[in-house]
Amino acid sequence: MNSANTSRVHTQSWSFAHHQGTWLLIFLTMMLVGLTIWVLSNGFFLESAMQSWSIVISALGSEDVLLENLTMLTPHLPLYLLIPFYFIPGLDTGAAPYLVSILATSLLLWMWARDLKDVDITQTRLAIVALLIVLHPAFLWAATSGGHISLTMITFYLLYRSAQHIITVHDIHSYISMAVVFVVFFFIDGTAVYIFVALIPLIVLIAPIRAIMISPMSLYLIIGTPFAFAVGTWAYMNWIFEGSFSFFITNADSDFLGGMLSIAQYPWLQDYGGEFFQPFLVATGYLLIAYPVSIYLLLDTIDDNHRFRATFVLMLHPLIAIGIATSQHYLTHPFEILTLVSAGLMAELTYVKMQTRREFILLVIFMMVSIVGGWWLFIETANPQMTRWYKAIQGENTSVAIVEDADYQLGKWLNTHRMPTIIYERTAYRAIVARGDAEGLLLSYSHGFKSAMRQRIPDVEQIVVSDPDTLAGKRDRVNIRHPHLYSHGMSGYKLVYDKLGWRVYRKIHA
Amino acid sequence: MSTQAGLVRPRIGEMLLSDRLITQQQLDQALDQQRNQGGRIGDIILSHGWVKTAEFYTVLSDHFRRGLIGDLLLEKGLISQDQMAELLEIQQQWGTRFGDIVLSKGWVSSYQIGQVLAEHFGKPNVNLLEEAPDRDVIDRDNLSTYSENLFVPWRRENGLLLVAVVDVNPALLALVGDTVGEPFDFIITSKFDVIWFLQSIGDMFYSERAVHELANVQPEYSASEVITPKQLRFLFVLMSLSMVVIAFWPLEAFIVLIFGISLFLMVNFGLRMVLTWVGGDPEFDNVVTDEEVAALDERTLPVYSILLPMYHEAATLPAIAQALRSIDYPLSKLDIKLILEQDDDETIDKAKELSLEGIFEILRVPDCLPKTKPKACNYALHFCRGELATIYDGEDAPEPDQLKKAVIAFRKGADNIAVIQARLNYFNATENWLTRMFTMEYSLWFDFYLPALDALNIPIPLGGTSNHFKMDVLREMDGWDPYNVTEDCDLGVRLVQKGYHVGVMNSTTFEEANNSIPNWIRQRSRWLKGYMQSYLVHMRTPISFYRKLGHVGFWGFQFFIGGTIFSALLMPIMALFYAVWLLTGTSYFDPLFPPLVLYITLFNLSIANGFLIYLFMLSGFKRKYFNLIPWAITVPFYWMLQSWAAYKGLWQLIHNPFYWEKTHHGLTTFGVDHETGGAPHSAPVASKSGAH
Repeated sequence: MNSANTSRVHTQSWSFAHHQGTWLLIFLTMMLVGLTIWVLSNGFFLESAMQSWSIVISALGSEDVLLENLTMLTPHLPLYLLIPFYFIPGLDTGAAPYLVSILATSLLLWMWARDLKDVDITQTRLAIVALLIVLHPAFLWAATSGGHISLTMITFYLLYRSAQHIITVHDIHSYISMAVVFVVFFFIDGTAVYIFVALIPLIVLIAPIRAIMISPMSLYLIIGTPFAFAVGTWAYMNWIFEGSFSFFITNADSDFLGGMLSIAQYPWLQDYGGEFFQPFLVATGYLLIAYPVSIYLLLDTIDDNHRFRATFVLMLHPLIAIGIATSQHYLTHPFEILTLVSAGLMAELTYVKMQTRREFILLVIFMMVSIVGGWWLFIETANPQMTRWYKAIQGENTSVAIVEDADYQLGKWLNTHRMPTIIYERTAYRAIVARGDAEGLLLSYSHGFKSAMRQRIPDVEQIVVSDPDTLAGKRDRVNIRHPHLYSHGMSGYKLVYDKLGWRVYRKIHA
Repeated sequence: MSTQAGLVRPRIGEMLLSDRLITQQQLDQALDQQRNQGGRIGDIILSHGWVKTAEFYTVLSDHFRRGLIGDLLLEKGLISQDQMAELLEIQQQWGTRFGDIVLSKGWVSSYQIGQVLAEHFGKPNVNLLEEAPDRDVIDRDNLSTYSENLFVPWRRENGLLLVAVVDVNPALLALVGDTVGEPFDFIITSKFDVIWFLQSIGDMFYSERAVHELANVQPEYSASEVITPKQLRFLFVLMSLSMVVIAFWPLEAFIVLIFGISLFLMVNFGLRMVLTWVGGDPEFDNVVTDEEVAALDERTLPVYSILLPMYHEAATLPAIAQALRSIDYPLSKLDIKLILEQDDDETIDKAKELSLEGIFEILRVPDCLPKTKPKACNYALHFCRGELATIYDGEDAPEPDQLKKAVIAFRKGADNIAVIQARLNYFNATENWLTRMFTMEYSLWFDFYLPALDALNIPIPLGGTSNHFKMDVLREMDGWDPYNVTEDCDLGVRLVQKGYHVGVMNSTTFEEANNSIPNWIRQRSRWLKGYMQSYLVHMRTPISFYRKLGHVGFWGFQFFIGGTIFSALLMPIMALFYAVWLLTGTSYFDPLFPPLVLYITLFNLSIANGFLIYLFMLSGFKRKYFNLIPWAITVPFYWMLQSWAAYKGLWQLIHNPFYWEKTHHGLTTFGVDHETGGAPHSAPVASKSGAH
């Protein structure tokens, strides 16, 4: 009888806490939604978000809806997540990537709140810690910028949880989790390769000593084989659809190359590209500024071998990954990886002692310092897009005037002149997004485009071509095939649009 | 109270009268009869049936018994003082009777025990082979009862039926009374006399029951009919329709076919991933803990029957006998049946030569068709006396505490748990490529898949050995299907349909992995043929089957049992398509693979196959067979062998469905440590002869 009562009280208490956690989650999600609307309304947009959306609407709007039309040059999972939004009316303006980003962030927060049940803290303290996590610029940037960093953060969170499990219980589930997370990671973000490689030397800190002594090779096989299969599968699909196993790492437009072919655009690569130790040391400094809380965690766990190893890996792993990714001229900005520390920190907090007042206050202080340091570092090192983002948060209008927005103008014009049109989507992705869909467009993977490119004089209604003197214009396949089209036009076609570096030629009917 | 010099022993009649088992009038009548016709008063009272034999001897036990069994053994010089002391200690620990312990130790023969018992009870000791029972007093319908309880009606003397028994206890006497249905008295014999005699007169009966019992009682579960007319009609209609569709819409038909196959393989892969995840839960490694085993009171353990079917396995007999002796279970509670085929003189001679202890009983199975292991086991079931039963193969090395773990698992499990499957693995894992593959496959199967099937309530195809049954349920199920060459798989599915649960436990039996490809093909083709038989049997009435199993159980069966068969059969077809396309670069197949189909096949080819290879790695990792892990990369070649075996099995299913393709054991050069329950060796430790 007594135990039944206790059980009921416990259930009610948990249920109450559970509801409170739900409300907190809803509040944080709404806050992020509000902030996203705010930055978007101030003219912010992320190039990669627009590019992703453009790929999706191009693929779904083409004659044949084919997987390969999503191209093999960018990880597919974020694109798959965007597909359902294509069919939702009202999202054709390109808001879907931002929505997915927020949903992913909410999912991360939900998983974190679920895992935090193991740490016995009050709902007030949970709310404070959650708020301090969310207010960190790295987290906010991931959640509201519309990129797929929020998805990357989920995988990193799971990766770090797996590492913690391997350290503490080393059951088979934790190894499977880690291996599968890496597979998913690869299909979300090209940095997965560097994150994976960076973990290789750290596995000796994660895995049980006995297993390392007996057969280190088996550990690497268990953790790495699925990842190797994932890379192999991707290479194989490249061979099937593009004719080359290495297409995704040789094509200039590939996201898997990071900043390799555009070093001049990225100060980080200009300063440290091709080196390992220097960016590693600089990133260490960045970590200490943006996440001094990791030092607190390291000191806090010094007496606990298992947790200390986990915290140490959390601190070291992203730094090594930054070093390797920079040495390969991949990483364009350290925040691409440093942001993941927020996810690792969340995972670490599911193990942290913060029941006593002293422990909690110390943690809060360090987290607050991290927020301050994080914002300072973010602003100091921001690239142009990051700068526009935080300015948009401050209420500054960062949008380019519509009349000066070449791609937007082209897109709107194409929307009002709908007819079969040849256009190279990787150059004109913003115009496609502005048009709203890709119906009637002959994109580079379509039969119509390929057929037209084989002919001396294409037989299509319209041809869009960009200024070949620009960087993007040089990569435009229409320019590559017809180098004089932009300047001199083509026999049988007349110029019908000429604005801000874009020209459209239309077929002359007899 | 035993009789002692100087004391006047109370008269039998008076004792029965004082216990009100007979009336004064009956006693007077019996005394009159004794005066007029002679004879013993007890026999007269029994012959009138006024009192049941069990009650008679319960009241008069002290009257008849002479001395203690131990004292008698000592007195006759059959055991030493030291042995006596040891026996007393063991008896405290095991809680079994003195005679059983002596027999299990092999210090005294069964015949000698019979003599001592006879003296103890003041009854004649009869050698049934020399003084055979009168066949007129034997009821052939009760042969199973005789053999399961070790008694046989002997002769009728002075109007009283004499029943030869191996042991005397009230429960047995009550059972004998119920069985013979008339007044009786007992005499003593040895258990081997009873077994041999019953086999000599009951071969036909036991064989008939072993072969036809299931087919007669539950024909819907018997594989004696490979495919039913209804199934044939369905197949005919399906094939006819397919032909029509192919004739009119060939391209579409093939696209749908390839789509169906690809989808099936994808779901099959998905199921295996789920099973690996669920089965990887650490809780399955602690179904029974070492602490629970240590805390077990051996006095409470039930009698355990161990079935050991062997055929031409003389070489492995000493090893398995040693393994069973080493089992951590009171030997006196073991009821071990060496089930040997009548024509297998070699193994029978070897068994005799070994002079095994009294807990081992040799059963010779008459030579009749189908000559299968399940038939042999069914035959042996008639002689089993255990509350629980298990099966081992000749080359098995169970972990010593396996029987105890099974008892605990039964006690902890639900009431409807009917069988518990132990894990199987191999002691010669590193012998060659094939044994490595086989070991990883078995580790995956038993360490991941089966626990997950248990957790998800999907029918578990039992493994060939180390499945621990509740004997009463096994008999209720009419044993194994002798026509099914994977009778274990079939039985697992039947049990679930009858509302029983099949569980798993964390104890391993180490076996000898097949190290020869031809031998492996023989074994695997039989297994896959048996799976096909089981699939056909249980899919005779799919709707009823669905109702009994529910959604998860039914689809789990389709993809786990069916998936094993079909993936093996389909793999070469898909591989052939791929190889032709890869080698020739032909675009001829392109129309057959529209985008969706292409994506699914690509997924299966790369991700699914990649992960299936990974599952093999995981199995080695979980078992800590680290050196096997890199070999998992080569598993696609193993799948090819599997497909070869599947087609061979399919061919046999059509042409020779009940043929039991015998797997030769004893081919390994590796040895196994039976004392500890053979952990795998990394190198050969002993050379064993016995290749057949």
